[in-house]
Amino acid sequence: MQWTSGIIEQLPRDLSTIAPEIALVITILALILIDLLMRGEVSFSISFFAIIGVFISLHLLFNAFYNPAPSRTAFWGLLAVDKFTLFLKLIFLLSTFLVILLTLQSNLIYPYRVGEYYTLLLTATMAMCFLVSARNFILFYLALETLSISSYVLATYTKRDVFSTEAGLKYLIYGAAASAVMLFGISYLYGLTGTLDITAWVNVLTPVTSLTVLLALLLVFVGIAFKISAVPFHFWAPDVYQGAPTPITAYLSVASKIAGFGALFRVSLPLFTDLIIPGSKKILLMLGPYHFQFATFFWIISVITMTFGNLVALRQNNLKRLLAYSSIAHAGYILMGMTVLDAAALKAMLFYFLIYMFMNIGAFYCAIVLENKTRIGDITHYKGIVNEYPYLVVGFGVILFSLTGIPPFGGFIGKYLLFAAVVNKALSTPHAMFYFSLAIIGVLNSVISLYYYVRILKIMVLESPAKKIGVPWTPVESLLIAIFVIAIFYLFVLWTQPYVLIENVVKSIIV
Amino acid sequence: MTVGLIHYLIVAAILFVLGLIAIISRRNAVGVLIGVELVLNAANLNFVAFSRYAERGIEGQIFVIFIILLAACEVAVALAIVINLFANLGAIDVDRAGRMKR
Amino acid sequence: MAGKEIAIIIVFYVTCGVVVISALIAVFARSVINAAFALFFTLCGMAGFYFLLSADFLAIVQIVVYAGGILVLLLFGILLTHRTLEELGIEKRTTYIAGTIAGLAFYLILIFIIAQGLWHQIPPKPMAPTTATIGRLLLTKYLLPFEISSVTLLAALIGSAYLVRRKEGK
Repeated sequence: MQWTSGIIEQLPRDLSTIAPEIALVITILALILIDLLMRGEVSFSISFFAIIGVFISLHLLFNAFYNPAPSRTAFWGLLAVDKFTLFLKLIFLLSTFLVILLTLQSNLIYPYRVGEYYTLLLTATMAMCFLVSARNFILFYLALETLSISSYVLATYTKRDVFSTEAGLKYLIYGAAASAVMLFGISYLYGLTGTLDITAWVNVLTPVTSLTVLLALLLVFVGIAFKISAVPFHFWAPDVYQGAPTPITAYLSVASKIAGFGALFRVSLPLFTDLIIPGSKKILLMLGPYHFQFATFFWIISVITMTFGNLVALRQNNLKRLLAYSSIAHAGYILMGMTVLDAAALKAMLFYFLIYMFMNIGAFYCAIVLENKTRIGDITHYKGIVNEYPYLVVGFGVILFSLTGIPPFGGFIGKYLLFAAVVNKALSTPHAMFYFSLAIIGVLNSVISLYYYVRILKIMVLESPAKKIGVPWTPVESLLIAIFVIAIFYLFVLWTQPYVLIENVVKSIIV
Repeated sequence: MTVGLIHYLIVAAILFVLGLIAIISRRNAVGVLIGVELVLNAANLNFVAFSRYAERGIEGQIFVIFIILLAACEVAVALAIVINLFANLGAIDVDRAGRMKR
Repeated sequence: MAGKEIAIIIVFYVTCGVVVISALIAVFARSVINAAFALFFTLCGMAGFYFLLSADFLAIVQIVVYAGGILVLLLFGILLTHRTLEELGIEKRTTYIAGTIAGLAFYLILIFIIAQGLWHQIPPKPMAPTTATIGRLLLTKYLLPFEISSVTLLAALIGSAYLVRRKEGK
């Protein structure tokens, strides 16, 4: 048979490039079997096996990192094999590990079955890994939808809770609509180019500078903006973040959001820059007499997203809802990097992903602890809680100041790198004001965010407590808080260590 | 006058817009899902039409197979969530649904 | 030859009429049940288009999976939860008018784009059966998505089974 030739030689090599994902799939199947075979008290052992699976996957990932594959693509060009995607996968696996730790601590999941929970969590993680390395739109859409479908169920996981069910339904309805609209955009791009290969589009699309390309790309952006909760496609986020079980909220606000940015890189880097394909002309979208550049588009989205997120967060009293708006604002900060989109901005964004993962999961961990102790999500009920749980408040304080982006916390380095990338770009182009204004708006937004982060601390520390809560503090809680605090300080003091890695990673895709 | 690419694209555009109207206007979850199915079918028609008129291979048709598969998964999960919501609302007050605490 | 052309034109416009009218009913019908039944005709009409576009395998898949599976699921959803949904979602006339105006504006943009005709052009292909080619592609170039989709199906199955199970294990 003609068409089978080559597969036998190619397949083993290609399979070795997706070893971390294969480990995840094997873990998923093992979890289902363990859940079936072991009746009774299985919760803890299943979490244990899930963590082992994630660690095996991480091990294989490091293996791939230090022994680069000879080919840059695998599976007939469907999959990109490079250190850049490996770094994003590292972030997904690490945040999955942290979310499993949060799950073990949360009281929400354990009244329900946990076998299905970890199965879906790892399926979503596997889908993210494929999403960020997809070079073909079939794989891209399949991975995006696999991620979405698992997330819908995870958001509904505490199914006796009406808010959780409602969150899941909202997420599903809006998510299905956004991805369907995105699909329509992909179909037009396919019609314009005659291929589904993202990188092959560049050469075909460059001469076509028209409303058609603009509209198709905007429709594709709807699906991605939904995942990163960029305004105006953020409306699902507050309700879903509030209603979903808290570990899943952490997962959606970190891993799922970064996966959305990974997808955005997949589409933007070849089409809008000449970073990864040498000599490719950037797509310049013509709308009548106006030149519409991608940077203008990202500038607008970035400014609206961070300003909206911060302003609405000022008025929130529910802790999870407040963190939801704060995470919308952080998507806006990261989008500043998309406006610049050069090597420095890429490095800044990757570093921001790293610190954002520790800060945001840490913040939701504190929310879980507060939830366990008080059973209330409203911050006005946390008055004077510092007297009873001093470690919690100190740790939460570090995390919140880091989210604001002030020294000596890791969030400062993340913001500094982003702003430095924007200012450097401003100094090297004729459109200085365009980038300077973005940096100024970003700084103003950070100042606004300081207000609502400090307000939480003010209620916890300065106001006098209403009554004693009486739920004891456990050493495990101290340990977990310590992990997040140490990570945040580590990324401030020794930030050059991960930054060297990130430089290496970005260098590997830029030609 | 023969039937060509343009004709199929116009039908797909009509379906897309109708689906969009349903998504915007319907308050009922299943009503919105019907709108989503219309949009998906519009995209499918585009893919099949382009795979006949704009591409050498038939990758567009492969894409449609995956889209149909994913639509089935999505609707199955949607049905599960809707039934679950229904069961919860049966036990709790109907008026409180659809209003999350702010 | 000319007779075949005319037959194709007639079939196309009849299918067009079925699809567009039933889609209109699916969007504007007051009752969701009527909308779902109208959607059935839209989905079958789509299969007709696929036959005209020489996508025979897809046409069968469309009827079996879409009309036979997805639509039945939707109907189940409506019938099982009918009362609650009716109470929860009462459409407002104003949102419909706003939605329709927005939709019409978008439609004009789409027609403008389609009429520009910037699409990739290839020489015309003969009508040929596609099943063999699809099978070959699914087991070579698209092997990876094919395998991932099995995990997707597993996740959807497990997820929906978990959500609808009334009795908890513990």
